[in-house]
Amino acid sequence: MTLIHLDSITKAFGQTIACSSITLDIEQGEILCIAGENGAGKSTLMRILRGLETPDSGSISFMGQEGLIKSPSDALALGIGMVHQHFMLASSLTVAQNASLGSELRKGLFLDMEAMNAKVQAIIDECGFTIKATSLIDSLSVGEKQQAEILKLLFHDSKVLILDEPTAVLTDSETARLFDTLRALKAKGKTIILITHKMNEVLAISDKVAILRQGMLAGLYRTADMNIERLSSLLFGTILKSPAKAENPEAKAKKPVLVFDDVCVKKRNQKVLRLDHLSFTLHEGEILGFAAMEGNGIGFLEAVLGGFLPIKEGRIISQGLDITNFSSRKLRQMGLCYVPSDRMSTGSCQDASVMENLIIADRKKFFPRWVLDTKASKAFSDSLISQYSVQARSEMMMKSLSGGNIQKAILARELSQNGPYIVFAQPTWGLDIASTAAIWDRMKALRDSGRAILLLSSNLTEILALCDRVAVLCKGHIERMFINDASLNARILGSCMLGSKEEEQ
Amino acid sequence: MILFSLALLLCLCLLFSPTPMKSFSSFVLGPFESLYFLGNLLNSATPLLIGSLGMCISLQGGSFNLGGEGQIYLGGFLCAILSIGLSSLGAFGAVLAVLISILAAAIVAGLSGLFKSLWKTSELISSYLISNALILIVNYLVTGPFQDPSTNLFSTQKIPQAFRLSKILLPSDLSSALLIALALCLLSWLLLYKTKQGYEFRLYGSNPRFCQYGGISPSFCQIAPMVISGGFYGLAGSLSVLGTYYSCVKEFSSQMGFNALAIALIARKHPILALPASLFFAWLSSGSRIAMQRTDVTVEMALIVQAAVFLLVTCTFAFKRKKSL
Repeated sequence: MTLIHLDSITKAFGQTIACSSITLDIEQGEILCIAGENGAGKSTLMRILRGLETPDSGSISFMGQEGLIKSPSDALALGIGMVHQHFMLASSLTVAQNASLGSELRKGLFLDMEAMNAKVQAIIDECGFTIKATSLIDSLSVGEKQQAEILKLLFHDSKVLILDEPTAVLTDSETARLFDTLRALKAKGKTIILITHKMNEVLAISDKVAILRQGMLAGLYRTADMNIERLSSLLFGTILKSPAKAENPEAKAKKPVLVFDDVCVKKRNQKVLRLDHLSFTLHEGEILGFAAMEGNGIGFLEAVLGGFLPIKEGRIISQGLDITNFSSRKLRQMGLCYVPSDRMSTGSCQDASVMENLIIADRKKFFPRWVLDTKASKAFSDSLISQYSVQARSEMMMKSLSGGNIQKAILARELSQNGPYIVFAQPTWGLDIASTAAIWDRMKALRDSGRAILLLSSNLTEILALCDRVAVLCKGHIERMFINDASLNARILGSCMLGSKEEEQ
Repeated sequence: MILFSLALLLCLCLLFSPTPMKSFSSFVLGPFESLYFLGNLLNSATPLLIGSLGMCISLQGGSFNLGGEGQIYLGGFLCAILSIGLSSLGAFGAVLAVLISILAAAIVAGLSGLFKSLWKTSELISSYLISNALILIVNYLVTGPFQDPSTNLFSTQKIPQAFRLSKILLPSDLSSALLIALALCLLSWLLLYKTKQGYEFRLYGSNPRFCQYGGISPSFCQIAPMVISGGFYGLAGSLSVLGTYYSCVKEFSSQMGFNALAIALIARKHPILALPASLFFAWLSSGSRIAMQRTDVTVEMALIVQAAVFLLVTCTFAFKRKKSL
């Protein structure tokens, strides 16, 4: 039975067309994957269904009736709920309080906390979730927070659950558990829509898959008729091979570019070391990878490299120059190239134009005698945009760009600097395969041209595909330094990352 | 929006006034009936415009200078006593007096910015507290050591004739300060949108972390916008003295700082929009003054009308802003 019928939905943001006349049927009780590259219009389409955006043209009918969804509350009343990519939970409240927010149970004038806890706990048990109704959101892991988000929808008795890239933040076992939950919900007759760009997930969970390409529906297929080659050729037009391993044995002979000498960072007023006597040398023409589980100091290493965090002990030397505790400003003056892991608020300013975002590192050049040289800055920004094929125009607001295009713009700006070394932190996090491959190719080309690259990543595939050497960071110190040769694989790295952690506990 | 606020005004007049039509028309049209009223409207808009321009710059730079009252008062007071002291220097003395007033107010506001960059104190609170202390100190000076002995008024001596700004629309009080304000309006726009500093302020205001990452000095962006808005307030105060009051009257700056802030917010921090916003504000206050003089409209009623219309305008702009996002 067709539950929802989207009829030629079109939505544009300024000049960018996010959805172009998309017609799609969603059936009761199915798991539908909406797949596509970054910026293909997946999220926008679902936000329209959820009532968060109004389409420029086209209509939605729900159980045969048109025009019911005019606002977010209309969609909610029909039982359409959405879990956003970034969680929307009140972290100081409990799971039950979050789930019941907006439709609290009352006893007289007061909230009936006990009844709410009981009701939420009943849903938790029914779905086989691992969280407790009375736990604080703050105390939950990412996977558990997601359970709390889904719980919110179930508490409000949603019939249609939309999940926007739910696995982006999950580990493999958490993903498997999520999929079990989704199957169980499907068995209860819920309709589930999953936004994703991971092909193996599409194949593992969905009944049908709708493929979007540049805002258009490229087709709606039954997953049973699909395999990974067919799916990837539909998504990207070409079949992608798995990346070849890096081979660059001469790296060691080359001269050092960045030296960390016994670097320590302490937590304020405490003896705990966040970075524990960190020493390494980065040479020109190599990619040195840092792999770590979250919470083992990789974020602090990034902050030190970016000039955000002063170090307590040790020295940092770049090409004979002592750059210990240089501020971001001084690092920029020597031409720092740094692609930060937090691309939305550190790497870019969402409320400024693309041009304003691109000129920040070179701004002196574009304000001769303090006044903006409009022509030169526009030309600079246009040339970066075309060189890195960012799908945007200089005067567009940064926030109107998709995640992948924002990252391309950041990359364009950072690589236009010519500092002695380049820092990449989680450069492909959340990006689709095509953008990821493009960034990897660029990094390899930079390495081959003799640049020194530091890659901080939690993605082992990425580490293994690119690095010449891999340092595993555990509790703020280098647990082991591997040469990335044929014998190294994800299992060895993974157990090194985990192993010592378990030992210490 | 304007029609709606007029309708609201009419309703209030009908409710509270025995002669509603007369009250209504003097409220709305009063300010435009004669050159005298029109000139006074423009004159009262002048310091508000200057102050709000400074606030536009500071708000865009992410700093909230809540000390406008004290900074205007300090600027006006210094300008008044310096004008008397420097009267022998002629025109040069006047310029010097204004510059020192600007500098003093800028330093006072800059202190809050400095504290913010050193100790992460909230500039909103520190500037407000400093300003309150300043008001009391200047009150003491105006009513004590510097009070004009020849009158019983709480004010300083009159400044010399040569220092007074020329009137440009007699018989009203409108002085050439308006021209300075208009020029500043354009300059503020250029500063914010065409210069390197303006670019840094705007980026810092919308994302400080990105600025630090990009190599912009955070302390510069915390202090400079405060200094600039303090300077604008100081100028607003000294031009009020040179152009309108000719002496520092006790608490002449009352509500000016807050009104300038409100105007900057209505103008959505845009210096060019601050011009219509300050004119609107001045129209509202002079309209209510005229209505009070001519009809039985009471002070309270006039204030209620002002507040209601103001609230309405703010809401309208706030909603528009939400839609455009």
